[in-house]
Amino acid sequence: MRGAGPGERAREAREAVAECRAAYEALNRFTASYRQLVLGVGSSADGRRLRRALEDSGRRGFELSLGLRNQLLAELTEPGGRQEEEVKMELERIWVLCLSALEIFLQDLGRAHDLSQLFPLPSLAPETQLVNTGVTSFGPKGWSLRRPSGKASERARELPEELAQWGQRLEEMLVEMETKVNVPVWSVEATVDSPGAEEPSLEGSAGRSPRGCCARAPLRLQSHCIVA
Amino acid sequence: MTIKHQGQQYRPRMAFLRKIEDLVKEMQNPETGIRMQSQRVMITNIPHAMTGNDILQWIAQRLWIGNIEAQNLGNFIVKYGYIYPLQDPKNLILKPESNSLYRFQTPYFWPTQQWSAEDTDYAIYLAKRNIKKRGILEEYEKENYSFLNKKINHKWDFVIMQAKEQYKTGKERKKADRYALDCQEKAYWLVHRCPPGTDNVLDYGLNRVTNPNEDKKITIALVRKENMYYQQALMRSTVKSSVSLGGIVKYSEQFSSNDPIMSGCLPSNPWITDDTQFWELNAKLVEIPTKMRVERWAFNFSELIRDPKGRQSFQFFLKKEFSGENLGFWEACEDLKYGDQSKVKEKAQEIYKLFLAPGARRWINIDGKTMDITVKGLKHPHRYVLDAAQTHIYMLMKKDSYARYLKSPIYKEMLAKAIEPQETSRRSSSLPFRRRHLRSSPSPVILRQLEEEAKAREAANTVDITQVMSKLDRRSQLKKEIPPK
Repeated sequence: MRGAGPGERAREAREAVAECRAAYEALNRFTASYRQLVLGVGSSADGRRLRRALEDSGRRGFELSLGLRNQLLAELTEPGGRQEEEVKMELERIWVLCLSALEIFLQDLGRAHDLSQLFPLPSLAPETQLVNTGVTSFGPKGWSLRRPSGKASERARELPEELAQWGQRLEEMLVEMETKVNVPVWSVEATVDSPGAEEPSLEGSAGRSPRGCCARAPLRLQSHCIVA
Repeated sequence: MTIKHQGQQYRPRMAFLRKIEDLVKEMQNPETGIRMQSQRVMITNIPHAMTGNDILQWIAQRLWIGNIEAQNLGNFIVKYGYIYPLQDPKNLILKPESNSLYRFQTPYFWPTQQWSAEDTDYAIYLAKRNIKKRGILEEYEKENYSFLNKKINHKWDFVIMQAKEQYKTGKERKKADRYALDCQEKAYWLVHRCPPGTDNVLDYGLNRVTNPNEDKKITIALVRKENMYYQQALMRSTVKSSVSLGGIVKYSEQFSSNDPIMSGCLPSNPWITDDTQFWELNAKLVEIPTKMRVERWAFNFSELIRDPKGRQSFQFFLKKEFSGENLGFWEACEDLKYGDQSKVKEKAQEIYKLFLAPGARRWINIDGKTMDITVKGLKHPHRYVLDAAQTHIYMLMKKDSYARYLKSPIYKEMLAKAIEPQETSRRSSSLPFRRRHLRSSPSPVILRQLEEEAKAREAANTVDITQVMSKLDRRSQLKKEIPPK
């Protein structure tokens, strides 16, 4: 007889966490690639292809981020304290990672928008030239974005069309995320040892220490988060 | 995070950036712009390099300015990061030789007003370089890195992951592009997180409260506000510059001999000779003040009243003249203005009871109009509610009592007793038993307690004119009542 109790739930929870992590990693990869694109706007690598790639990837990024957010929200707002401490900690960690990645993405989106206006491409007036930076191609070789994981893209909702609008929606989303869900950002501890720093990072090794005094207690108190 | 706290969060408008941008954009023109060459790095050719000389000549020609000014402008453009040097990246100046090469910075890395160079980005950059080659960071970069590790520790996972990703995607590009991109990023961070010893040219002070990019809609309310602002500006009293300059000259002449930096101080400057006598002799309420200090009280009334010892001596004099309550009132007003604001209401009430109410213990003599204004204001007390009365009393003391004080025996005695310290030369010797032991001065907490106790004692012992008069009255009444025998 299969124990349909904690064992099963724990496995489900861990699977969900693994999915979230995969989705986050996709977002991470995407942010890095998007940044490469924006680096080229206005430079000698700019062109119609770059702009089109910017738009497409902006859209994909939006999908990714929406999907990840919804997934995380769904996991974090499971009613009751059904999840174990470890799972919850892991989810919070991913939540903070997601927020940070979104910030960077948002910043790059804004920059792309501003720069595209500074160097308006289709109607390039004879005076505005592109800046000769020495860079001639706009993207990495074999430029392609990984498809977002199935579940994440399913949960994405409708997308507004324009770049500026995305920026705005993303910003709103970010603010929502920061305020509505009660995850104290500063309580997340780094699990990665910081390489190259002079002093050994004490925090890195203490990454998995359970029951930090300040961090966990307040989280216990709120067993349900307010969802947008 | 994106949640911005209320208050100062906007970067000021940096108009010069737009101007440089326009100029840089013009430099790109293939016909009228700067001549491009290609730079040879090992086996690859990277296009779009320029010589310093070409840049200089182009600026001079385009703007019709001389070489010196063009050099200055060129330096600015390089310092702000629009053009970066290829051979000596840390030295951000425009070298006008024909073998010093420069390249344009990509617009993503241009300094702008809207986007500041964030700590997270900097951390990612440093982490990336570290991943590429461990230990390549310079000293100050290593310090920054560990500092950031502590500051944004909660984001550190993200920083490392993102750095790895960026490094991977960077590697996927063409070799020439990769080289150029690396140079660009390095130049960007040399401008925005400059190494120690260089000026941070983008330092703009504090963030502003209002958004400089905000379009202010012209509404009636806005125009009305502006109107009020300008009217108040017009109402401000103005002084001819010749008059105020003359005032400054007179002040400097008068105080020059009293200034420790300009004319030296006796016994000696403690910072130089390690002799703290100067501070001890000039302590706030020292028994016997120095001659210079007492002479300063004769310069003008504000010098007397701002020196605690001077106030003490003046108070002594005023008590003899039965106008001690004036200075008491003045001090109470100062306390109201600059003291604990949470107790404003109580303080104002006490002052009213003690000084202003009819029949008060230490009643001050101010004219009816001022009294009216003050009493009305006391209904809603705030820091400056007693300003009118305080000014009146201040003027009274200044015009009336001050002159008499300077002629009084109290002041003359103080002047005679005042000490003129002997000059001491460098005292601290290298021999340990001859070195003077430096004690720390008494804790300010204790000093304040002593002051408050002294004040309380003063208040208790104050002889009030009304009490004296009432005592005299009662005595005379008693005399009348005792039937003559």
